[in-house]
Amino acid sequence: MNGGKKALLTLRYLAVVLAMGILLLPIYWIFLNSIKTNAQAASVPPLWFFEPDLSHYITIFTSAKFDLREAMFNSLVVSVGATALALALSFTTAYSLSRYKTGGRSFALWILSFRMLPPVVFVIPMYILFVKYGLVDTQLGLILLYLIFNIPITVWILRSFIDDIPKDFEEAAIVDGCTPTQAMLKIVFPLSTPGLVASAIVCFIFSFNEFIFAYIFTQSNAVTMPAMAAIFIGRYTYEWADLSASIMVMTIPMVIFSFLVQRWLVRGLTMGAIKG
Amino acid sequence: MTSARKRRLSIYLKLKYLLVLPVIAVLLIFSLYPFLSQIYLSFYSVSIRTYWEPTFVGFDNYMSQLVNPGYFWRSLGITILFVVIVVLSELLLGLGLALLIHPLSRVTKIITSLVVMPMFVAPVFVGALGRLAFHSIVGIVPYYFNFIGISPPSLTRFFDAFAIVCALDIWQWTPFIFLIVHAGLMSLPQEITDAAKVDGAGGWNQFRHITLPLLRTVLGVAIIFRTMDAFRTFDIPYVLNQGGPGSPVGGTTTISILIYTMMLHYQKIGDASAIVVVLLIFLNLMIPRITKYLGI
Repeated sequence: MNGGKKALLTLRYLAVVLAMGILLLPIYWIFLNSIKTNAQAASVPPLWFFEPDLSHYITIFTSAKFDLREAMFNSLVVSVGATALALALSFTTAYSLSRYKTGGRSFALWILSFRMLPPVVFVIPMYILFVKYGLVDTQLGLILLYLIFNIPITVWILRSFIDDIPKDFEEAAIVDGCTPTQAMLKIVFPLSTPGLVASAIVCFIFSFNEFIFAYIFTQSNAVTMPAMAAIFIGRYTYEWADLSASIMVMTIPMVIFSFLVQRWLVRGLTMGAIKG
Repeated sequence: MTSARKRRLSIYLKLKYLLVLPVIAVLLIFSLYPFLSQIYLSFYSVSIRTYWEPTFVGFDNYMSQLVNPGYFWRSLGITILFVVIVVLSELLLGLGLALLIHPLSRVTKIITSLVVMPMFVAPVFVGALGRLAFHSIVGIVPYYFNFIGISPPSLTRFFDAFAIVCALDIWQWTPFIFLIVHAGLMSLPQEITDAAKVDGAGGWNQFRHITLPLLRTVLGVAIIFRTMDAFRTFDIPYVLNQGGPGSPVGGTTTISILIYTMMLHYQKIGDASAIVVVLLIFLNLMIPRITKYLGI
């Protein structure tokens, strides 16, 4: 390797390190704040070296002020419930769209448009409806609301995966005496496991991080982590170490989760448009 | 055609529609009811307390949102400017980063896993992060700005607040474009770039005439998804400074924030509904045009 090439490679590494620094520094800074005392976290000039104080990770789970345990439980119940319900409802639709092109392009787009609308356009009427049926501040209420964006996601991702399954399998099964429904459930459903996993991952991420519905439609019983965080920010303006610790507690599981599911991410996040 | 086959065919046809019924039913509840009720509400003066006895006001709500003082247009302008700035920046930065990392094949995997981290921080927390980092007294960013002797950005100034929201969005979502472009680069056939090299195409020429055209679909999809989500932005500006500074339309008042502010802060449900109706008409015109490029 000649000198010019070597210099270029070094430059490339330097640029990558710089970019990574910019992308990761804010997260590292929040982590540092989470192991400072509340006073240190708000100190001027900012502290970079100090004696770590891990107590916030206990405080946020035990003190009466921060009820993070319940919020975490709600977040999990709502995300898992919303994901499962969306998958259960969407599989047959995805199958129909893939195999029979039901309703053509405009039907598929109509479904997609729910993912594009700002969630805030659903708030007023749904709130009135939820008050009427006692769904405000319940986990079920949030699970139902999350269908608005989870259904388009699952239908589109699953459709792209089912498109990849050769039709021959079902045709062979039908020749052997299966009904079309049986062929769908016994042949295509098991083969679409990767699609189910990819859509479950994406639905879970979006439901877990969802803010506006959770913030407006819950008061005390069904408050999820993002809604709780917004309440913290408004109420405990200067308990920054506690706030940082709760950000870390909610972000770390998501980051680990993202490592585990990386090979499905691209296809999932682009709703099947890119088969990464 | 035998009658058995005919019967089978008719089962097929019925099945096809039967299968989509659950989703249609759910989505109809989520569309017809909200949209019809908001069209109705947009002609009334109504708050949460007076919800069951609204006062008919005709086109007043539309007039105040669209003509005088025309909050809708100001907020739409801010939203569109925001979308253009963040999507373009994220596109350039994400593409650049992907091209930088691509040749370093030995370390790409670990770098990719680290670089995508910002995407998994809930947007609410990104807003919180911004609020802490840009706090005028104890924030870390103003401190270092003062340290080098530049006057620091402040959340209380219109353009600064707008720029801060842009910066936070770019920080969070550049990894998304990077991830997609990276996947696109990985799937490029090696032979083509090799052939180009043999033919003597150097860095820029190879990128301009071979890599970029091959990445067109991938970039298109990335742009559409980012445009869609940037247009709906709510979480970051809301947590950062409730869409301020200034009201009802401040430097970070995206359309979503404006609707929220009208609805819950000013308790003007009729005004909020009028904005929703106009927005839905606008999106109805835009969405089919945008999705044409999704390659469906």
